[in-house]
Amino acid sequence: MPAEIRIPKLGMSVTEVTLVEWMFGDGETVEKGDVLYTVETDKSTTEIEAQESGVLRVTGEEGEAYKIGDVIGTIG
Amino acid sequence: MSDAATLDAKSEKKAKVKQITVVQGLNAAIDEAMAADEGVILLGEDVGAKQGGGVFKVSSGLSEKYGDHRIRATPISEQAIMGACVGAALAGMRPIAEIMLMNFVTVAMDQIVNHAAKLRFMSGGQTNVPMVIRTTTGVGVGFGGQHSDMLEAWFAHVPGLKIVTPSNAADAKGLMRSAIECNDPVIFIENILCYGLKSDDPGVDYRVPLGKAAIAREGTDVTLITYGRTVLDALEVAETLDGEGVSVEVIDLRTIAPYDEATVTASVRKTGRAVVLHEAVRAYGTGAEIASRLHEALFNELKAPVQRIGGAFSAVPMASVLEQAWIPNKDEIAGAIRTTMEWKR
Amino acid sequence: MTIDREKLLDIYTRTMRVARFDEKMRSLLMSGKLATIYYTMRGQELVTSAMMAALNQDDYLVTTYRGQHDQIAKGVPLDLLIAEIAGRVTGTCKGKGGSMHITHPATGVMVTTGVVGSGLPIANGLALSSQNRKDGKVTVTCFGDGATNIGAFHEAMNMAQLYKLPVIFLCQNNRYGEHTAFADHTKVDSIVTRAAAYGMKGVKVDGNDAVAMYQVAKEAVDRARAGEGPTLIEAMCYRMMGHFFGADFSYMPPEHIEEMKAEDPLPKLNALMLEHQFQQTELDAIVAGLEAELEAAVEFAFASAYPDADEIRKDVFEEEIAA
Repeated sequence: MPAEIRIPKLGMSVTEVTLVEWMFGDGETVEKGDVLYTVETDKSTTEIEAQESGVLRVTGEEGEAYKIGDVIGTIG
Repeated sequence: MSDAATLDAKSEKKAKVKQITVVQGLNAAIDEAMAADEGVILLGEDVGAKQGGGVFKVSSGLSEKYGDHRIRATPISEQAIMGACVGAALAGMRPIAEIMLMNFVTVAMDQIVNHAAKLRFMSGGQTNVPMVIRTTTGVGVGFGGQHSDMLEAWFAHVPGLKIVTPSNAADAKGLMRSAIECNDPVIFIENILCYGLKSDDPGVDYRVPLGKAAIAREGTDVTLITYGRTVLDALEVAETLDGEGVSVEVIDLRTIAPYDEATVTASVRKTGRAVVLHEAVRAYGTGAEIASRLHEALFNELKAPVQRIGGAFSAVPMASVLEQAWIPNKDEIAGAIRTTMEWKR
Repeated sequence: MTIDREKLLDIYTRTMRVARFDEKMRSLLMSGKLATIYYTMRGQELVTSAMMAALNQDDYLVTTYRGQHDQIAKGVPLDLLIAEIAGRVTGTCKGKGGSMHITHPATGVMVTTGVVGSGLPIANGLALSSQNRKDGKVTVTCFGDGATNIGAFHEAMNMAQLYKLPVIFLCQNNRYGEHTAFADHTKVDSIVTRAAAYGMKGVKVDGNDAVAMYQVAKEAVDRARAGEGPTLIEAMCYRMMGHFFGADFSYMPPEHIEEMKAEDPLPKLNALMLEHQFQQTELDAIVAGLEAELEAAVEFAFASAYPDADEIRKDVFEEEIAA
């Protein structure tokens, strides 16, 4: 079953982040440890690494705001 | 006097019950608890024999009897005193922390509020903190702003703490024993002006349950709810008003938090009128909580809004004339009662 | 300095259990599967393992919010720990404490505090109980360099030495107090110098040298058990990441980051094991076993139920609060 990619909790007071950029496209294969996407909070920009290997399915959009825990894609 | 009369007088004297002071009551309770349980220890400044057995003599004779490892005189280190008692309690002992004056609890607030009060909950019930924090305070001895505060409202607002204060020597003894045996942290407030109060010795192993108020005087027209030193003022005012045909029921809470809501509500349901009195500052005091709960429970049955009497909204002043003006006096108390009696909806 | 091979293996196992746990936690957080405040102890895996390897199961531990390494090295089971961090009712504290308040009396973990420095006075109390009862236990309290400037530290140091308590003050000096470098928050060169100010024995050690750290720890434990009083141990190490997971740590200069990587305890320990004639295959098998333990623990945690709302009324007092 594909693993969900959820927006992580990146700090004590951060509740919302902006998805800045996907490093891979929908349908591409990713390896665990690859930088998968970047997010921006009011504090900084953070790179998020893939925690699984597999085929990436993208649902989250660049430039959009998401809450902690929102699903933005899967790796299967 | 004839021989027979002298003999009668002598046997009357023998039959008289022995009296104890509040200090003696506290001392006896701690002594009896320490004799019964090795885990009961006392930490505080000047508490040992070497230092005179405590600034108010509450631990008099105890270090001689039980040793320095159980009556530990400490440096002036309230955080260390409080933390050591938290730790010893976590290990299953029953420590008593003595904080010389209530204003100094502020130095140890982290240990009391962030730790003692919360460890049972945060550990999911795996550990608990069966400690007693004994502290002295009171307005009227000219100690000034940093040595006279009654801070029970702060602690009542922290879930996990119980707060207790005696108004007489027998209750001092009974409440202290129960506080030591309670499996949760208890803040035991002693009043500096009440240490010399006497009552009949209630005897060995006397206990007064926590969470139970006492009806200090029965009445039918209005309920006067209070605790600690002001119970004495309340009883005097009740006596005076009795002469005016007003029957005042005086409730001595004994446990300030969690308080005996059942007894208080039943009384006010009966009388329809209530006044809450405390020496602590009136604004945001425990009286506000009690009054609020009475309004919630008995709104339609009350004959008047619940009145509150408490200390003035300032630091306790040093000058005697100002200090006396700061303290809630009997005229104010009587005035509040009359307000409820004269209230027209 | 030499060390018993079995003891070294013990230290290795504890260290790798902590290391794999921390890695797993960061992965769960980064994938968003777990969303909680987490204070990573990457870089401090070994220092705590060498300390805990010198203790008995029933010795007491007091630690802090950055304390999972201490708790795991002490023996807190991974399943109960992770369930607690994940806020499940099967956690050590029924989900009511979380990562900052892990408590597990069965392995001596008596309190974990979220307030810097508050553990030291409490550790004194635990040690005092052992002193009075003559039960032979010692208490270790772990804290960072940042805690050595708060009032409670000083009060506790003085009282511990005054009463000659069986307590060990383990300062894991990771060179940063929150976002502030050591030299910017403390005027003395070393925390160990503060021991003398309280008449206490103080020892400074490289926390990432397994043999030296264990030796220092063992001596302190033996002293405490023999009634000779407390020791302040300043164990040098590195906090290899930010203050908490997700925190930016660009305030650390590049030279410091290079230094940290060079001093990483995990490859150092691996090299030490090989020096002591352990086979890499043997070590890898141990780690594989730990990873399986970890997987099972994570599965257990995520399969567990959340606590009921009525848990809020329980454990405030001994008696339940009325609804």
